[in-house]
Amino acid sequence: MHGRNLIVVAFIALFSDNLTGQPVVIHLSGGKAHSVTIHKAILEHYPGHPDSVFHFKITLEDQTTPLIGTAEWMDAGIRFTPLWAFSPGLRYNIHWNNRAVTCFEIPASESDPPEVNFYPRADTLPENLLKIYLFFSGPMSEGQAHNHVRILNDRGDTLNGVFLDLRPELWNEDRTLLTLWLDPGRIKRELILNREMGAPLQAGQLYRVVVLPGWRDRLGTPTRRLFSKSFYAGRADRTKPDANRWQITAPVAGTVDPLAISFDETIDYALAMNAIHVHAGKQMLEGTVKLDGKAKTWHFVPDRPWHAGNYTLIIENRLEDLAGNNLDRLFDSDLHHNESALVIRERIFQRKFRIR
Amino acid sequence: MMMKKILILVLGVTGCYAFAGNTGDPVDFTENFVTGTPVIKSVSALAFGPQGILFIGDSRSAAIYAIETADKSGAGDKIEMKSVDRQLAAALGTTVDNIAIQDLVVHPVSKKVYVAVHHTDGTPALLILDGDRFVPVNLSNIRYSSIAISNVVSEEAKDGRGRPLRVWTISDLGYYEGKVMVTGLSNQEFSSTFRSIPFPFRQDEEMASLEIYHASHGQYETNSPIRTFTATELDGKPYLVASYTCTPLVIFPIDQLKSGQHVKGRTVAELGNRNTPLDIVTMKKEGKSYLLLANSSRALMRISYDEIVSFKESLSSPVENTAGVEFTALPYVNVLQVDKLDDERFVLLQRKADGNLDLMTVDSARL
Repeated sequence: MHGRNLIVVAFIALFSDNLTGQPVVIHLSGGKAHSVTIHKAILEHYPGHPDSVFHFKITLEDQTTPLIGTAEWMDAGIRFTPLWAFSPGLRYNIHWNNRAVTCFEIPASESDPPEVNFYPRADTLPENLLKIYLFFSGPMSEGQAHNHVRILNDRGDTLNGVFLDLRPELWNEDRTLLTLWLDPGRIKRELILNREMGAPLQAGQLYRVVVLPGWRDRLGTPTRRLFSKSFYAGRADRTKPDANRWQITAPVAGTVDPLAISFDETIDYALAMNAIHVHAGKQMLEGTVKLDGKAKTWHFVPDRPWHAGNYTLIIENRLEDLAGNNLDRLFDSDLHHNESALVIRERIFQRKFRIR
Repeated sequence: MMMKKILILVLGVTGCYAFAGNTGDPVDFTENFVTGTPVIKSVSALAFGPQGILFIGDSRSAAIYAIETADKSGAGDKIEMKSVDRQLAAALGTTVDNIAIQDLVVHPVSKKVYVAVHHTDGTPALLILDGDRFVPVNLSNIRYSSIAISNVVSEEAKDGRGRPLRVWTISDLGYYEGKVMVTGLSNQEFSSTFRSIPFPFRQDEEMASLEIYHASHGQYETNSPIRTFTATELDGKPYLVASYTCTPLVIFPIDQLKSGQHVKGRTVAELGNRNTPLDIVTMKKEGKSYLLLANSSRALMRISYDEIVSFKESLSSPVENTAGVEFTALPYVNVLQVDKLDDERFVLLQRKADGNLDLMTVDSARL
């Protein structure tokens, strides 16, 4: 039954003289109402009870358009499976021979309200900050970022046009991590947008990123409180991350102590978690990556104890700092100062280290 | 009369098959299709190719599907529907704030509208507007082929709590001369990835993946992500016309788009303050070719190919608000999607002043 073990009986009789006690059974799976069975007793009261299901349709309570789905006769009655699961909190009418015979309501979600965390976590961020990540405690609904995320200045005023209104939004697979871009057209020097509106943030100013209440999770439960993170804008970062300047602290052979890399600046959270690898020869080591709160120190704990010998830290060149500069190129390369991005290097950068 | 029928039959056949090179052998693009039920997890972008093949860009599966639609030729009736979003929501059993239209295309043979919709919880639906009602596109036991587009390093990397971090969201998809072209955005790095995949798909064939750059006013260059694009012939040569998330409209000669290359495009226009082009199609009118651009915060625009061709220089000096090639703002604002119905008509999806999202057919004479 694929986990379809939770069955809720919910019915509301529109025509109580005919239907008292006749159930509509809502089938739930993973918190979603994926189908409904209407007991045959309800349908038998009406003319035209052939084995056909063509006389049957379901609509939203206030609509006439029938739901797309498949209806089939089961022993108990008609089982209707809509193309999309029924929505929590909505009421649906069941029609038989063009008459509404009963209705049912999908219970509202009872999941815990979502919680939100922010990255980067540092207190001072470059004025040409490119990305903000929002971490949610559970899978969220899409398409709501525009109405729920704000950046406020120190007077509490909302900054207009700070974020790029991207459709589709950039969620990770389980929709717990959302990537927000500050408008690159405003950050990028010399674009019309940059000249007319200026960069979204100004060095020396205090800002607050705010997530407003009411952002619904996958099942419709909204965030109940305001989440925020304050930061100062510092000077613009117009240099590439330089992996040669990172400090590598190697652990001792025979232990599973972490390998620690100290960056000389805050690195983009998702890329730091994703684009740095440890190799022994050609073999990539399995292990767990952790970043300290301000994404300046990277820890790698191997699944198996370290052996003495030579290792290589492989850094993908796509690794970015907070301003979108990667190992290969600046976010906006100034061609007048020989910063052309036209040179393609290897896709990776390597640092050797030794475990003793 | 019989001769006419035979002639029509022959035209029909040549219309369905392309000829490979100079050999004269017809190519059946569905030759390596399999029969089955593809597991499509999202419908991020749609495009039609030869033989009425529908390409589906599935970001969540990191794959492109090519499906045989088997749609018969249609009457090509005018397509009109008021409050499309409300009608879709009602048919999908939810409220309008729970749906997002991802893409909308017109089948080149049946002239029916195919629409990709996502629930805010991520559930996809692929529907056809059949008369005045939506019906699902049959995806069970169909003939199809697919190709994975995830060949990036450490695709499966997860964060400390085991959650997958990296996704590559398809921003646009198009078919041109035996190639499926796809652009995407990463949720991590700020870059532009463009892939050109030979079609029919061959699993062992390497797809071209490249970085394409553009300069702003000749001084700063970047490889910011492409939002939407079209492929077309300009001055006798095939070009990719791409619009970026940061507003510039950039052209690239397609023959330079080779795997692993770093290609620099020519910026031909900046399309206005805080405006993101949403959709681009080609329109032919009175013997001339134009681009039609739907925009997030500008009216529908028309740009002449002749203007683009004659605009030989990349933007090189500061300009006011919009710059580069001349464009004509058409009297259609808040157009979200545009596609060709036939040579004389286009289908627009437009948010009206009353808040309704309407589907309408407009003669090219008015565009």
